[in-house]
Amino acid sequence: MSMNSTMVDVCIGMTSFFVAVAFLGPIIAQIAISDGYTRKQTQLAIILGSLWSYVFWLCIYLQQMNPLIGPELEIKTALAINYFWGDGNSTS
Amino acid sequence: MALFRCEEMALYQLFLQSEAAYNCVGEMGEIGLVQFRDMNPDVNAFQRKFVNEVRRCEEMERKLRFIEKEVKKEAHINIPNNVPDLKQVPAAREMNELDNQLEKLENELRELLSNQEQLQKNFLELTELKQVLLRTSIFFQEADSTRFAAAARDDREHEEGEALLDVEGGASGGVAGGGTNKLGVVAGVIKRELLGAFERVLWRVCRGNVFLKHADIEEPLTDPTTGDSLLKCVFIVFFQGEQLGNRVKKICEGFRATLYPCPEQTAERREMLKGVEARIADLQVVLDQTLSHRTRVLESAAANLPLWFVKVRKIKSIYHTLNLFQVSQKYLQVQCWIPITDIPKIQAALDKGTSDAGSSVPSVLSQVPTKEQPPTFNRTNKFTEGFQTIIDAYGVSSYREMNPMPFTVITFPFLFAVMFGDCGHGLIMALFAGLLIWKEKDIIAAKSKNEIFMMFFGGRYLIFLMGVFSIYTGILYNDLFSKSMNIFGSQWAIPQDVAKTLAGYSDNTDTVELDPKDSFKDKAPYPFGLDPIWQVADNKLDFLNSFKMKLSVILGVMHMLFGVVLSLLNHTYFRKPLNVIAEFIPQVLFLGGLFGYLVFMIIYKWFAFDYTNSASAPQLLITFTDMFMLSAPDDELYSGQYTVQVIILLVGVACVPWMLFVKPTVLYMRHRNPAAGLTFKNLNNLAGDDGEGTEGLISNDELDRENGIGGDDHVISPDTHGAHSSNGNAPGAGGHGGGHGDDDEEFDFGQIMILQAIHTIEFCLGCISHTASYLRLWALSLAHAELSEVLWSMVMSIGLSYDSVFPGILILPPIFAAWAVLTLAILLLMEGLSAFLHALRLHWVEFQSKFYHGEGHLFTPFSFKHIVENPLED
Repeated sequence: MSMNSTMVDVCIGMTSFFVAVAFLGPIIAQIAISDGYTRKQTQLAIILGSLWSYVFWLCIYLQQMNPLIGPELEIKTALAINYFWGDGNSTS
Repeated sequence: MALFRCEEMALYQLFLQSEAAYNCVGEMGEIGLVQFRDMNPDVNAFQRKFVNEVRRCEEMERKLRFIEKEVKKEAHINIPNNVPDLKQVPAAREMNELDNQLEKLENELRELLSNQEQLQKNFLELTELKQVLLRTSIFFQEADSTRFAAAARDDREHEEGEALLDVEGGASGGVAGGGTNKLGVVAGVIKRELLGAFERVLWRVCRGNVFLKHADIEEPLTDPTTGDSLLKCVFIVFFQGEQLGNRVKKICEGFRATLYPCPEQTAERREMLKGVEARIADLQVVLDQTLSHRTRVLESAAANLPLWFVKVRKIKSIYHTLNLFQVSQKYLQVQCWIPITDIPKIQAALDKGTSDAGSSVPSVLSQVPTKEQPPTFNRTNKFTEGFQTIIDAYGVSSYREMNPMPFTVITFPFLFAVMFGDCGHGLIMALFAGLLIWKEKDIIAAKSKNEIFMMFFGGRYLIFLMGVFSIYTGILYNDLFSKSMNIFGSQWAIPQDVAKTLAGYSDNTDTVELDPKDSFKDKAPYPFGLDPIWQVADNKLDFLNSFKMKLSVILGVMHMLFGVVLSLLNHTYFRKPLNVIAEFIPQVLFLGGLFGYLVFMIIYKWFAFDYTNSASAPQLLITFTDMFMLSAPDDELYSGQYTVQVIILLVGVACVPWMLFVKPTVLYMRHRNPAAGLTFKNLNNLAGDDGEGTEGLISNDELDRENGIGGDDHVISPDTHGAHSSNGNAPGAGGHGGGHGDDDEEFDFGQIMILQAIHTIEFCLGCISHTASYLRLWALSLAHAELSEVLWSMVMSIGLSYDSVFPGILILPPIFAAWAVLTLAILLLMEGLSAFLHALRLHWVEFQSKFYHGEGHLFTPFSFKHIVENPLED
């Protein structure tokens, strides 16, 4: 399994985004919301929400990381893709 | 305010002085935090102390309903449906004032009603008389001409030569001699539909010797009692002789025809007509004035009506509650459940009530120690209320166990979104719910009676979160109304050499399969979500199915492990270390070991295998089944896999007898060996009572004090009466599989064993079936995506596939309309409800069976809230 720089960037970026939300969200809520009940609920919601969203994104990302099969395209679709999206030899 | 568990409740005894009782109970109703118990359960409703007051209130309600009915008859008067919530207890003397006021109003209305009826009856009679006078003039003229013709004849018999009409007090002109055989006349009005039958009966009874003439009244007349409009006609009957006359009159009575005296002479008739018309005009004026007076009275009543309803209902409910009290000479007493944190508020309300009543003796609240399970009080705000409702629909949480609601706020919309996963549909859902939230004040004030709409409205925050999460999962599934978005550039591309060879094949529909070795650009996946190329690939489902199944299993195991962790929190709170050792740890080992290993394998396979060694990639499902059958794997994920699997399997299998036998054995040994420092009483509490013992509340603790044993295992003190918080925490929550000893002496080992067996089997088999059950996340998202795609390709594409503007521009709008309606009906409503239901099932069964008992009962405080919010509802 090879890891290239874009992959690493993406992984670190997304992980840190969700971690930031999970940490900063509750802190902001601690300051901004005065009612204890709403505050606790909001903090829990932010943490749970970011955790589950992160897991979801991560599963999709890891699934596509090492594909075992490739897409099977109709020839005209393949040619259309080649025309509109560029060919396989250019590096992004 | 408690979030994770329900409020702490305590049973209190309330002593109220007789004068202050009414006001204090009223204040309790205003704050709505006290649940009273019926202290006189075997007393008949009619033998209770305040039954007369309740009767008076019901009388007042009856009067109010009568007034309401009268107001509703006048369609243009509007009864306001909203009452300002002044939080004021109506004073006791207000009942008398209100009673008198309502009585006066009712009498006035009844009088007006009867007057109106009378006037209308008179009006009807006069109108009919006028009609009779008008029409019969024609008849008499005809009769006159006939008479002149008869008089010209020479006849000996008086009948022929006589005046045709027998007129009282004088013959009309030109007739010689009177006679005994004069014609009598009867004139009146009869309903049109009865006329035919009337004629026939007259003919038959009088043997054809009477002469009937009739004419229709064109305008319909209003019946005074019923208000219906009737079609009537005027008739006049000529007969000869008194006997015939009586018969005719009887027949007219039978057919309910009203008879009117009709003068023979034209002049008299004209005078009468004038008189009648004048009277009709007068009567019309009086009638109008009566109606306008009535309208005024009703309008003023209508404005006050909801306020009166609220007051009367409040008073009635206060007296109903007072009927629950135990009454003695000087004071009333009752037992009530109170949330502990609200005691200062309740005390303040009691003081206010006492001072309002002008009494000097304060009310007394004293705690009653009890082993009963208190009611469950989950405080919610407008946001969490919807979620709490769906949890309570399955079962109200037992007292002080973990409330799944705070977690459900996020996991429920999330699991829904995994099954719904479409940006476009999610956006529509979120916008719809957003609109409901934005307009919520107006919608609440409108008090709509449409049940289905109110159901959607009640769940507006839930639907909004569902929509927002669906947008997120839709972006990740790359599904926008079944189309994919290419934001970051697809990571799959056709290599140039392949493209050159393909150029020659542009006409046929053969397919080419891209090899990840050459076509997977940069060897980096699409950064956020599914690659857009899969949407146009023929083998899309091969890829997606495998992926979504794995995702479902991962999410499912996560959810279930979370549930098991919550059970640990319950065990720690209720201080049951035995449960931690005998239940929690084997559960975690079983679930985490076996299914956690499956999750591990999934993730490991993602990292370890790519296109270079895809030929040797094992199929996980087969590997998992082989693990249970203890056969060596054909393709290995990693070296040493077989040994690891055997160990995990053995640990899992060992957990089963652990779950099954450890706890009952320990309980049995404790029972046999009380010298180990624990008494029966404590044993009972450690094992956990499910008993909702309503056996004498005081007696249990008196027994304790006699034996010098504390009531709880965490408060070992002889004096428990008046102790504050500890008894409120009495863990009455059903200990799963624990001792059912209502009776201290009996220790039913058989029962405990059976319960534990059920629990073990439920958990172990449940693990497998629930994990498979989470695959519905895959199934529903697949169904949704396919439906969406079918709808697009079979409906919308047709509209978009025209090359030229005309006829394209004519066809596209109706096609779009059809597509939009089908999207809303099938994909949003039907699929939405379906995904909602399945997400709910996942929560209720798969998640909650890991930790939730749900054997509590709801806290139903005495409160005026419902009365004030719906003043006109019954």
